[in-house]
Amino acid sequence: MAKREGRRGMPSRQLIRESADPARFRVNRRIYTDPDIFTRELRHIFERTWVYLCHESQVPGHGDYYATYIGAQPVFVIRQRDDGIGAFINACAHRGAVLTPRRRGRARTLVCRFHGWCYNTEGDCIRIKDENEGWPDGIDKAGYGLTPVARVANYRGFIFGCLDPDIGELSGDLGAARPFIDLLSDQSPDGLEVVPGQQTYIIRGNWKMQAENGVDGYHVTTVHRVFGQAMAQREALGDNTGKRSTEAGRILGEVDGGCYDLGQGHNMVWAGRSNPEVAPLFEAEARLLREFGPEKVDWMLRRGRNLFLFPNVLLMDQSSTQIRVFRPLSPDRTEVRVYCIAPKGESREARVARLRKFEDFFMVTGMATPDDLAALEDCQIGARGTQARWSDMERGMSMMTHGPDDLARGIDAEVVSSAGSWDHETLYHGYFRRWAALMDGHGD
Amino acid sequence: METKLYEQVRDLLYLEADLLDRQRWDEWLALYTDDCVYWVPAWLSEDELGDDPEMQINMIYIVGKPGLAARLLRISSGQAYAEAPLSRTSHLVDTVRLLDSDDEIVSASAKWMTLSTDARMGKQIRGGWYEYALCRDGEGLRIARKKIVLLEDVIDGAIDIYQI
Repeated sequence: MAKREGRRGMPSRQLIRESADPARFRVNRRIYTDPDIFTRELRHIFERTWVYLCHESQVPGHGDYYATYIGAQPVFVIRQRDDGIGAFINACAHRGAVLTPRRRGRARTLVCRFHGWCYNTEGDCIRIKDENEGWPDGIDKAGYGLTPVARVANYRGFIFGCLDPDIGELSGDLGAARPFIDLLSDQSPDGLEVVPGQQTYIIRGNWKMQAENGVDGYHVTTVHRVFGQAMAQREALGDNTGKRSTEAGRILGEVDGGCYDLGQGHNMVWAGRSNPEVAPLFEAEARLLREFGPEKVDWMLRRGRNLFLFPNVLLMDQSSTQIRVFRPLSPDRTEVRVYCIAPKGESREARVARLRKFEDFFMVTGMATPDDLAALEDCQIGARGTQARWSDMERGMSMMTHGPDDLARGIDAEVVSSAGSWDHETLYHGYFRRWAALMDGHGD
Repeated sequence: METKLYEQVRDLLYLEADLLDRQRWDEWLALYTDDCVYWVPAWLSEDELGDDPEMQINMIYIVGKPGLAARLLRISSGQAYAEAPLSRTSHLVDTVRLLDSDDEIVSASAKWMTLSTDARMGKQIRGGWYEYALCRDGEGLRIARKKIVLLEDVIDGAIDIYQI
């Protein structure tokens, strides 16, 4: 592409080139590297959409807090007196010091460690040190509450926040992603819980590359083939039998699969489980069939799924179950946190199998995620090549169908498009369109 | 007697580190017992380290040699994206302490630091503690259990067993 592109003010939709005839979908790699684009993403995307914060099990009781970020802005989520969940900008009203000493903790009174101002779980300022001295006209605590995150909402245990008070309802934004979240939330009548232990890592790649990699089915048979080989050897040597068996079929490409554009930038891939009976949830099959129809139970037990919720979280239900939440640090750095989420009340055997499979695949100290990172980071390096600008996202365009296929219809998922292979890339189209629309200021 | 045992333990720890740096994987694996435990706990919070490997998420928790062998297969295959080319590593092991010993098991601890260099990640320094349970095997010792405490809470890049 020899033509020179305007540096500033270029509409973001021009960074996405698409046409129906001929079937084309190309993405300008500048979106991964340009500092101006990155700055605008924080404002137009992260501060104007529903952003995933945490799972409700991470703030179980009054005063339990969880510190995180919405884009670049520090926030914390806290369980309030009425058992509701609130979120605030994580900065003392006085001079702005962060109020949470740890990532997670319990504090029914949040005490600023700088000058000792205190806040309750509703964000009210309840103590100003030496408040009767020094202020020319006195000081009224009522005017010094914490700044709330404008909107906080809970969908089936997953907590989201939005800094824009005018955003539409969360459930409407999630749209066709909801039935797929339900496939997780409905796994136990007692709900889900985040298991103790987590991992946080930094990738040298743009946040969108993390989003895209998490729902990329096409790389699995190349990047993760060696994982499949390592698992096959381990099993041949007599390790991990029974529930501990690893479902390597999807890695070797021996299963059916598909992908969906869910609208609003959300999307997902699925692949059939080659041996569903070794999945930790399989022990609940009879109960699930009593509670839900066979179509839904098939989705829960027989299809592994990676679900991306725009803009910052992946919910994965494959050999193990994962929340992968990320935040942008700079155009080429992203922080990723991974948690294992599991149905409450599952057997010890199932829980142990779930955790070991998680460590095998999903940890940056495991045997698959390091390879994902390396591939992603290579894409980030390649994206600096200004003479080669356009990524091809066309695979599957000739075969996709608009609207839901029979499998999606089976759980009332009104998806935008369906594809019968998880190797296809049509699932990204809605995601890029929403990205461009938000960046141009008319996405919601 | 204690001095001789101390030197034997120290030499084993030095040998293990050197075999990893020289990528002599089979010789490294031979230092372990068949039912060995290789454990890198995850941090539960800023100041609490995981303490129940079965029921918590760990960075790495391998029970038995086949699990270690699978890690080596991946590293040495030339097919793992992150490990082709492999990082160059240099371990420093020091502050070796003999903690306890009986007829079967010798307990020891040490501090470690590893310098890794890699084309993509550049130069990285990681460090932490080791805790060992060593099993007496005739005149020698084999590693029955190794716990690696990794100080890093936010991990910059990826980590494999030869880098810690």
